[in-house]
Amino acid sequence: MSFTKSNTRLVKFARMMVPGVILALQLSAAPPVDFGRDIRPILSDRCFTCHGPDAANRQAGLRFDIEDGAKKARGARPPVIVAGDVAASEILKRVAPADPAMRMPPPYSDHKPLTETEVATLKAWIEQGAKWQSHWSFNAPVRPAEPAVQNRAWVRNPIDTFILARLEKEGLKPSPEADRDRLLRRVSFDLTGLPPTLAELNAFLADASPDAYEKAVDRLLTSPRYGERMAVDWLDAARYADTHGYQTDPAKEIWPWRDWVIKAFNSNMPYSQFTVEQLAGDLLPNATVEQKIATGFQRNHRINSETGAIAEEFQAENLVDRAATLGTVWMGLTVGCARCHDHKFDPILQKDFYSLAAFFNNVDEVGNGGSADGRGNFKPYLKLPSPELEAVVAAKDTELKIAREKLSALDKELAAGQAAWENTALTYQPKWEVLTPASLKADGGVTLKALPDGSVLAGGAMPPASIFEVTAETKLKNITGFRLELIPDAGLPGGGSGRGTGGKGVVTLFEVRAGGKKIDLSRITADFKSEESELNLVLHPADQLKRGWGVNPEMNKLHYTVMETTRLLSPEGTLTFRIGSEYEGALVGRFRISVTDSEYPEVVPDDMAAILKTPVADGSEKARSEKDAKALTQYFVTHPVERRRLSEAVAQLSSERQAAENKIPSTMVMSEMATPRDMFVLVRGAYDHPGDQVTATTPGFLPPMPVDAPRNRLGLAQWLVDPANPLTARVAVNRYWQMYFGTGLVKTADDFGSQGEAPSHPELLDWLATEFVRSGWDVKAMQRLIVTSAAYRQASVATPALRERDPENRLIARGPRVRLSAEMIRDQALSVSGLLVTKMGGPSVKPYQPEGLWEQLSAFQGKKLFERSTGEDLWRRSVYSYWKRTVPPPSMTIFDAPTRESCTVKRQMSSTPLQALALLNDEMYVEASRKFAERMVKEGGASASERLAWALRLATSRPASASEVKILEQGLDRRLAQYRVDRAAAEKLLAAGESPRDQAIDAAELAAYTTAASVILNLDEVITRQ
Amino acid sequence: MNPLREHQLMMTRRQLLGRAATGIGTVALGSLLAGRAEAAPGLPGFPNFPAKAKRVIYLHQSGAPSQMDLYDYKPGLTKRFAEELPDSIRMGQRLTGMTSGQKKFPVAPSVYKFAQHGKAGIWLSELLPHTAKIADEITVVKSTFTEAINHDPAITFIQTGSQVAGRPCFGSWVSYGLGCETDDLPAFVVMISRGTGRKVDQPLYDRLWGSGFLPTAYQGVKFRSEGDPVLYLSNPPGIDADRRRSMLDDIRALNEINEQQFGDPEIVTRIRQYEMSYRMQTSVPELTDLSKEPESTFELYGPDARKPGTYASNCILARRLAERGVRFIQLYHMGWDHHEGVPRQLPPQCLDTDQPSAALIQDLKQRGMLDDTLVVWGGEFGRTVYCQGNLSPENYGRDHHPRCFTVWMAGGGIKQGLSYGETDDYSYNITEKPVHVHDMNATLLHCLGVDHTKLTYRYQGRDFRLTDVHGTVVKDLLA
Repeated sequence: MSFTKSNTRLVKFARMMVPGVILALQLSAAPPVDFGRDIRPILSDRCFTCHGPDAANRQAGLRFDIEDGAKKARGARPPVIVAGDVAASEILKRVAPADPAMRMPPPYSDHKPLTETEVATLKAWIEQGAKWQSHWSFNAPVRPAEPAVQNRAWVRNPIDTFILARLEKEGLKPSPEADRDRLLRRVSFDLTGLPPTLAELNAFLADASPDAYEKAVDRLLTSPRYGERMAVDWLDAARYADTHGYQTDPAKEIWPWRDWVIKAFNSNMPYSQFTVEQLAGDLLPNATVEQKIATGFQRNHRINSETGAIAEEFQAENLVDRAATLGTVWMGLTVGCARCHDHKFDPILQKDFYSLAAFFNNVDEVGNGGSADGRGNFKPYLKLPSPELEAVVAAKDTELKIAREKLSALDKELAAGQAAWENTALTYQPKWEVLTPASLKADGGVTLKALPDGSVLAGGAMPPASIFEVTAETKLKNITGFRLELIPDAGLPGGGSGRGTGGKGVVTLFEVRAGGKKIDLSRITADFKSEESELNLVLHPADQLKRGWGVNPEMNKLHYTVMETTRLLSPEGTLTFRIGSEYEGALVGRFRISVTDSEYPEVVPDDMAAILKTPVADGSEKARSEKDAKALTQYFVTHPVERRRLSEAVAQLSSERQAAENKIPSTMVMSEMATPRDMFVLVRGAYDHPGDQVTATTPGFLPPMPVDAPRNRLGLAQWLVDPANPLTARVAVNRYWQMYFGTGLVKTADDFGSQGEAPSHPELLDWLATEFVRSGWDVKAMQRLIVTSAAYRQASVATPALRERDPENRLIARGPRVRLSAEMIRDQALSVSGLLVTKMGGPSVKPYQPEGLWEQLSAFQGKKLFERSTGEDLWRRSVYSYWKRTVPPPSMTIFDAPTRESCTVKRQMSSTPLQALALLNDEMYVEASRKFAERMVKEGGASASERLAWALRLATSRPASASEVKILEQGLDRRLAQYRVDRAAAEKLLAAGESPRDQAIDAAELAAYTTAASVILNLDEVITRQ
Repeated sequence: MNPLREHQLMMTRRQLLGRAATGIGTVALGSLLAGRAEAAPGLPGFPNFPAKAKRVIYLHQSGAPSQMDLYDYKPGLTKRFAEELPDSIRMGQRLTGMTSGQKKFPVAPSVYKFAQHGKAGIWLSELLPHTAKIADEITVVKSTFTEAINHDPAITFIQTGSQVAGRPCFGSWVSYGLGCETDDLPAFVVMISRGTGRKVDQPLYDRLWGSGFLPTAYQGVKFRSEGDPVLYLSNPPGIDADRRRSMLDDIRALNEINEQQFGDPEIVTRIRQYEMSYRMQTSVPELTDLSKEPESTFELYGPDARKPGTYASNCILARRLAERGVRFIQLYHMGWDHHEGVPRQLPPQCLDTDQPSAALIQDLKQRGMLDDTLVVWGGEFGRTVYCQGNLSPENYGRDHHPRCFTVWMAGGGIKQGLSYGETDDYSYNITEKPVHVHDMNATLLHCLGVDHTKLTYRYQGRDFRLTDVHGTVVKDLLA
């Protein structure tokens, strides 16, 4: 295709426009210049960076963000803007000078020059008296009177007067009301995220009462599904997820907060309380568990626990995230821009930013997480009440106490024998029983030969690495240790014990199994080891570091290593040993394995040997220190068999206790430290460059906190919901509007500042904001108000003329037509197929996703990480799906769900081929199509056309047309004929998903209907509210 | 987003098509869809000036290769074995939490031999014999530096220009600005391989190919070696090509009916997306099927080339993607994070990557594509000269080092055969010609004909760009 001339025209048209005045220019001719709408956006966009609120970078002492800065003389220099005097206004000369080098903004800056239209607008404004206004959103909304309108009959509630007044001014008419069935589908999705059932649809259509629609709205508002739908947007804003989000992205647990949000919406908690509890529930008098759970809002952010992460650095990041999120969600301001410098466009000083962040600086946390609890949570967290598990923990505590007392009594008893032991400790030889190998095996072409003395000699190939497997039997009970000897052999290089140069041989692994179970080995000692040896690696091999025990340079001497068992071992049957020889060029040559039941099997470790050689405390300088004496006693008493048994019991109890404790759900919360941390401005935002100290306070350009308000999170939250706050209510109602119409009255839902777009209907926004406060922040009432307006109820059909005039539907001369969200698309498929499980709350679930997604990006190769849920957890609502931040569920992100790494208040809305592939091929949707097909056959009627019409109606809520049914039926017939011939293909298609298939339906028929169901689930109309 | 740009985009990409459709009726719509629509255009005015490179193949070595064992030759260190790193060099600079507690910072000289290669005499270690063969094609920048000291922030920084999540990545910026030359494949493709040097290594994150605040359509599409090459690409079992086509025909016919009634250009866009998804079902398997590659290809790319999912195999795929008009091809090779046992872990990593990387350059060159393809090889930061953990003459580990590391680049717009920048005797601080990550990204964009200060997107009231408010094109690197 080629780009037609209409394109050129449109580009030209677009070029004339500047942010904020598009609507004005587009919709009416030569309006009087309005500072807030027409001028401030120009000044903000082109001038503020160097002549704005940022004092550090302000040039020539000139600023355009305040009236005095622009209109007052600066010393000897005359003002740049003189009201009514175009000739004297220097600004006009500078924005359009004869010499381009003189131009402002300067050619070398990143800012584009003013367009001719903009210059003309600026000129007209000066001519008209250069009237100044402060930025609209920083003044508290005043409830406007409802404007007069001609077509009063259209008005259903005050919203409509504002919409209609504007339409009438623009010479436009509202669209007729949407068909009732489509309207019910629209409002059902908007309020509950699900389509109406046929029963709900039929009941609504049968209800002829004048308030049938309002009744339907009330039904939807009381549905538990309402809270689940409303929660999704809030979860985006709160950057809620089930993992911490950095690097290995470990799991956390904060779903109790998610459930709190759903409950809060369903119980219609006022927005003011919703705000206060989430920001400061813990600071309320006699805070309840629920109020503490609510404070998880500001613990949802990512936490970097990467090894090596510097705690102070990420403490600063946590604070920045909290302040920026607070700014976006409640204030609609990009306060995060003031992290490194004063805000370039809005009057938010860098100091203000850190003063705001200071409210969140007293949380008892570690910047890089610190150590996690059994649920992956970093402090502060709250263990949820869990009486059964708590009882288990308490019982184990009691048992532990008793066991520990016994242990301690025994230790005292044993200590009496220490002096006798010390006499022989260094010369003591355990009684070793040499094991005779029953079988020998090695990989890499190495051969193993048993020698008469029980030792084994390796030969054959010389691979870089080999693992030897030796089996042997023993009748010994209560085994306390194993000995591995490296024995010199004349046949080996240099007469050493290994096959490497000079007889080098390195043992990299020693592993014992009894009855297939790996035996825990607690300690390894050796009579001699090379300098490079790392003995512990023999017991705990690292994936890469193939080192262990070598005897260089004493290869010609017999040396041995001893591994102690953690628990006394009385094997029944064969012992299997795996001995690693994986150090390239140092294969093990000759070795021998022995076992013992002696109480002190090991070589006395060097540190203990040193203490033993030091005389017992006699007051002299050379004598044993108290610390050493204690260590030796500890060493001594831990060995006897009886002591080991008791100690094992303690360990076992302790691990059972921990297991029970780890099962108790916890959730991350906020709590204050007794001593607040000091807060500083961070110079250029860098954690290691603290500047001036600041205290917690709100930005200076907004109404102050009451003098007696606490300077903590509670005071902050109360300040936000104070009716005097100009932003909170406006920002909230704008997001609600956006939910229904796709775009807010302020299009930039995340920026109500100078660079944000001015509201399309400023009076309506203020009316809604004041109404919200007047109603006591009644969230459900506000939703009801919007969806029962005539504006919302309009049909979304648009004539080409109207679409051209108002492509984005900012004037609301028609109803909204918006693609469903990722969650709605999936939940709808579950709903119409009958798969949906409406169980609420609890730990997040893991529905279908392609194999290997987590594993591919993971640090741990070959380890399975994603465990798919089974049974009903596969079909829960999407709000309960497990959210792994670094690999979020693709069926969600493909449909524009954000990654939840940072606060998002407006989702993208894209259309991509990947969406088509997902809807057509994802196992989840294939299964849903099959279940949908089963319903078609069973519930849809007798004939194919009836069934298809039934299905299309279920998915769209409106009756199917004959031509649509014909298309579907022809496709069905074609594929049915194929499946009748190729029944194997039919069976394969029907095998998708875990849900059982209805065997009563013929496979070919069900497969064909499954394809028809898939066609329906893929229709643009079906994934759209229209 | 800048409303003006948004408007233009909407007009060019969607509404124009929709307008044409509603204006000229559905007969025309039908014929329009039956033929090939034009691939997605870039922004008006882009490229800003004639581009040397049309596309990028970015070979990211995740985990951070050790520069002084591969490129940054420091012969003087041999005699300083185990000496404490002088304070005059370290200058109190911050260290990661992994070594900041070490009592000693002993110098660990590289165990590898170095030699000079090519006309410019570029120093390369013995671990890179194949790279040596392309010495006359590449520019080696030894003076790259970054700001982050740990992996997640650093790799996020080099890919998105910010350490904090949420910004679009390089590939998203480029496909947003320059559009796509193919309508059979995505504009931006990502492939991942695992290193054999260190099997438990740094993870990766979807955000590294995410579009941030740019529209979702610009995010990278991950090509996988296991399962479907593109998520959900294959028809489910029991749906063959004929059934799929007939289903798509039904979907289109029904969507067209709805389009007639509602006139929303989004519906036309969706119809197009379904057609593209159908084409991808053919074009992607054709692309990933290497069976028709001649034997010489596999010889060139080395022993791993036939193994799907290896770096070598991905390099072949990268060339095939480039041939088919894909704008940005991003490879990630894991396994370079060598805190310990550099001499054990580094050689296998080089075996993985040295030959395929060099082969890619040679292959592109012999096909005449190197002139307009920009190839970049590098990690997210460098490694320390001081040893992490125990030091012996044969064995040492190295911690993260943000203050200098080596990146090489080649192809469209880049000088052939150049060693650029110098570091001090310890490969610790840059002494000559520093190249900040933002400078590097600005330079790479320049090769694509993009002024890095002009490729912007308005988000939350600010015009964001890949290079934040920084970055200077390093003219010395340009051909």
